[in-house]
Amino acid sequence: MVALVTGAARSYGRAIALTLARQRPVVLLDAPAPYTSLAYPLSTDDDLRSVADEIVANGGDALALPTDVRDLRAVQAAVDRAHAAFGAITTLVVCAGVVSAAQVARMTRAEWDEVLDTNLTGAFHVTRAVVPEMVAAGSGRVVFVTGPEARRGFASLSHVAAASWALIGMAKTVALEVAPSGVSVNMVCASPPDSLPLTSLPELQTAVGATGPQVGAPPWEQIAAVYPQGRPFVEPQEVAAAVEFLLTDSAASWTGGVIDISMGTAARNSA
Amino acid sequence: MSDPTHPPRRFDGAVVLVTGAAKGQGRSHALGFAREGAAAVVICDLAEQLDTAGRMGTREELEETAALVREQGAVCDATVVDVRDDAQVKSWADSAVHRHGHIDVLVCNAGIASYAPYDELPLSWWHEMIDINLGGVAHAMRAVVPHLVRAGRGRVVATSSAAGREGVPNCVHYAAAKWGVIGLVKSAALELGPIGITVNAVCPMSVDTDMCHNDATYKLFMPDIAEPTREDAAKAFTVLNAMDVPWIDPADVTEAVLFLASPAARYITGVALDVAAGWNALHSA
Repeated sequence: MVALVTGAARSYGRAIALTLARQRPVVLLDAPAPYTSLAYPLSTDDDLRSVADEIVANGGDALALPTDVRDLRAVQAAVDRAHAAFGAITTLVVCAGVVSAAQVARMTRAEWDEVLDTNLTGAFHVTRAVVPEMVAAGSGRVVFVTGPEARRGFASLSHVAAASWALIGMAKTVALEVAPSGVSVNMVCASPPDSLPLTSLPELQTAVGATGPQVGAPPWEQIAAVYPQGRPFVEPQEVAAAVEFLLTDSAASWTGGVIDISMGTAARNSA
Repeated sequence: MSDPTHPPRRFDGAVVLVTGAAKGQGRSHALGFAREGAAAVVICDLAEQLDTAGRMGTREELEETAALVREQGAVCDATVVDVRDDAQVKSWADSAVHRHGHIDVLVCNAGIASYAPYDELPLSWWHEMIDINLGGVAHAMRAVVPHLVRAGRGRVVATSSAAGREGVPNCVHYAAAKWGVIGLVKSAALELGPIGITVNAVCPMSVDTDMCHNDATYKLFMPDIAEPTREDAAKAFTVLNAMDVPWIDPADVTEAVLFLASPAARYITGVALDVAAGWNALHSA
């Protein structure tokens, strides 16, 4: 058993990598390459390596490979290195994603392209590089982790929503194509784990609905008011636990599905 | 004074932009708006054959659409535009405003279809599909919406697909693009709702056009038949639908587009409207 986790430098990807590493070697990828349209501090290669160091310090096996998922050849090279280090990848968890905030009327081409290329095409690259080998082996588990933007519209996040909805369409299609092989493909749509993009992107605070009577309160209270459960953030460990379940024998029949970890906003989904 | 011999039409005096209008659904939409009184229908198309796709519109067909629109009494400007090139799209939209003063309706219809399993799909096909069927919608919206915002009104209708509502084997790039259109449309609907601009998607199943009737599409739906005929296709497609038809007519989609752009649909926004002969009854929402 070998897991490959993209977006593993922090947030959900980090928690998932740390959790999966308790039972199998984990290969960690993240996308440190330069972006022109992102207004928050990106994770660094050092962030990625420190996750790998933590795994190794806990007695696990880990390989940190700073990789830009927007580059298929770089992804393929990383998968080859992973294979050489630990053998065939049996679990793929795609978490790599970036965010910016702009209304359609003001969105730049760079904002559109960088989100689509990372969040959607990057996921396709990793899928192409990893899943065919799983199909040939007759087993494997794939989980795409995305946000609540995959389930509804979000003002100022039309590019993120487009990429996230497209990711679900892609994942469901791959799920159907590989279903006979025994490989499963599922999605986890999780609300944000922390306030990093929110505090860096004021337009995003408006987008999540953090306005109205709560204005003036600390941002986390504004954010908490958006969710039926009244708390602001999903714990990364909750997402890691869902992914871990999808890798168990008990989840053998789970494929093509979407799990919402939403602090109650899923109750507003039409299905 | 209303004239009973010439009842008001739904789009009297409107300026309507339609992408992908050389033939097929786009032509049908352009003609539909013209028939309903549009003063100007501004159309564009790539008008060039891409290696990956079924037969695409030509410059002659784009001009033919323009001539048919003019026969309905509307002014028609026809331009070759690659919707992947946001500068071209912006210049097309700006010139429409320059010539006609404003834009009332944008129909983001341009799209292609190609098919391959996810593990054989050439990366160039992935990019081409995402750039045209999803990026093209975004670029047209980014080019036109600022004009609508300035005017404080307007309608946007984008073409998604039944493939935007479920997974479709051998269409990973097409399904991704068409799902993406719905996420884009719903987000734009939220942004533009406060100023009264509506943004919706139509999700047609197979439509009786070249995109449906070609060897690649037939093979997708009938992998076990060596050389499928139109009759074979009719049987294979009919079983997909709740209603007893194999495919719908472009006019059926046009009626949905016209409705969503019409005054009657003023409070309908953020919708993905299935025009699908009941295929949609299989979807969860």
